[in-house]
Amino acid sequence: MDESSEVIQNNDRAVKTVILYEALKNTPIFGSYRRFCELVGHDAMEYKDFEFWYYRFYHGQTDFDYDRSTDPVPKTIMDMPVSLMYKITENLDTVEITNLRTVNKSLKDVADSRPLVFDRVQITVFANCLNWNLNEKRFSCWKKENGCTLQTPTKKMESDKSFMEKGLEYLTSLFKLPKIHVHHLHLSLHGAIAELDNVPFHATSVKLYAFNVNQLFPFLSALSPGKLESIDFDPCCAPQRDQTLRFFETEQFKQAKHVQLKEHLNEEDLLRFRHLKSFKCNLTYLEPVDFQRVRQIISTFEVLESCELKYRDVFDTFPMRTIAQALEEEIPFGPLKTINHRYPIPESNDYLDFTIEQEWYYCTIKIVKTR
Amino acid sequence: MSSTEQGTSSAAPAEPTTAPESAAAPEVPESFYYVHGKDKVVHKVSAGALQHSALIHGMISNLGYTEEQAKANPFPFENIDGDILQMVVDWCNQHKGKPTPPEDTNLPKQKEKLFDLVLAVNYLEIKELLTYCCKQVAMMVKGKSPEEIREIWMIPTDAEDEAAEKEAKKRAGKEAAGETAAAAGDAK
Repeated sequence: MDESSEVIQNNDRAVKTVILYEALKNTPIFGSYRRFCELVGHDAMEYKDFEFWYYRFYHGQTDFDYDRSTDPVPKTIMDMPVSLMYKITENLDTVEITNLRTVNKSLKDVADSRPLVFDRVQITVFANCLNWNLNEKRFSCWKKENGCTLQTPTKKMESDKSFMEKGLEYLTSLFKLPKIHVHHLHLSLHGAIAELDNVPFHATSVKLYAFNVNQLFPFLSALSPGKLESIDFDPCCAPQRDQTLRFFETEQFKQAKHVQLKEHLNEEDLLRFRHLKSFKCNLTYLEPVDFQRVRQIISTFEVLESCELKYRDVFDTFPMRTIAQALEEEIPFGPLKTINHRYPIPESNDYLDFTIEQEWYYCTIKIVKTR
Repeated sequence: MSSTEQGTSSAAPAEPTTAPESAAAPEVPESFYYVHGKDKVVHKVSAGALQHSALIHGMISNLGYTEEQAKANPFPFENIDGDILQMVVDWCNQHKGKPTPPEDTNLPKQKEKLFDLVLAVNYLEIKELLTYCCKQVAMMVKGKSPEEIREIWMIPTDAEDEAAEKEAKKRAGKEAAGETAAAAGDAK
């Protein structure tokens, strides 16, 4: 503590003069208290006492010698019935509710009493930094010479732990919350990451990106199958065949409703998508594709609503015509941008409506089931 | 003469036109009720303003007081401080018969007053004011870290809670032992 702080702290009138000055400035009280602590010392006065004097002075009661000893014991938040605590905490966002959990046990019970729903959680891993966004709130943990720095929306702190250890400590405790649910999880791995202790985790949709496909499987398997409706499996490079087959074998894929893949699949692979409401994938370019077989397979999918297939031909930079011819669709004269094709599904009143569009060097085949 | 008659005759049909006015006009005099808090200061409040409080509104409906009876028997709210009850009465008067705004910026900023107000409003079942008050309490800790929340809301740590509980148990044990000893002394 410097000399001036000591002088103020040892003089009650000087302390109250500082508070009076803060009250007259009419700035938010907690900021005033922080300034007061900086000036007078962090142990000079508790916030509850500062608040008492601040509001007395704010309301024009400037008698420094007021005797508080006969005042009734003030009520605290812990005097509130639980029903009111629920009503109060309804006004806090999900991140603030998770903050309440670490304050004390009673507030933890209040916070845990209802589902913690995040619209979007995005985790990005770099070689020397771990970032995560919880809804619109950003957290960051980055490497320092001896440890790391953790930046949260409310504070910045140094730690002697590694950035990965510190970041995962936060994330693991978050994911272990009993009633957490994430609408959309986006995981981007640009560096190595330890597994999150195989914490089972509830998310409705996920986008998984990594340089190395194998890094993604532990995270995919941590997501609760059945609750996970939508998977965007998006490794940097197209996966090897065995990795693709490993993906198809996951319970998460088998119970999903919407899937987006980068893999280049053949016609028979499409049979694995029978249970999906929608999917997007690439068709193989390594061997010829039987488009009639593709159409025939897709026409048997009962729950399918729509799908999108990308196709490129290394020998044909304009494969639209090839696809249309294969589907026995008339090709109009003139420059082609889009070809439409309608296929009546056998033994059904439904149709598959194809829209074939030429993109840069590939074709997009959008198929919608029409009833 | 004829003009007077005309005047009379013209005045006669005017009666029905004024009659509905006088039928709509008789305003029912507003009834008032009386409440007091811990400080026994009695507040006169209209039934219209008191409609905000489901508790008092229910009491009024069930009791069927006349004005004299209401004056002689103010509703006692001994658990509410006088200044807090005054705030509640003022709010009810200000919002009598009006739609409540989406937020209220005139609530006390001082935590102790606000907490007292929340408890009073909860007891009196004033739904809209309770919503504003709870929001104001929540706003105190909006964007704050757990340590700051603890400081602002004056929340003890679990260790402090446990220590206080132990102390309370110890005190209760001592008191019980003292009572037993006193009872034994009396028996002798």
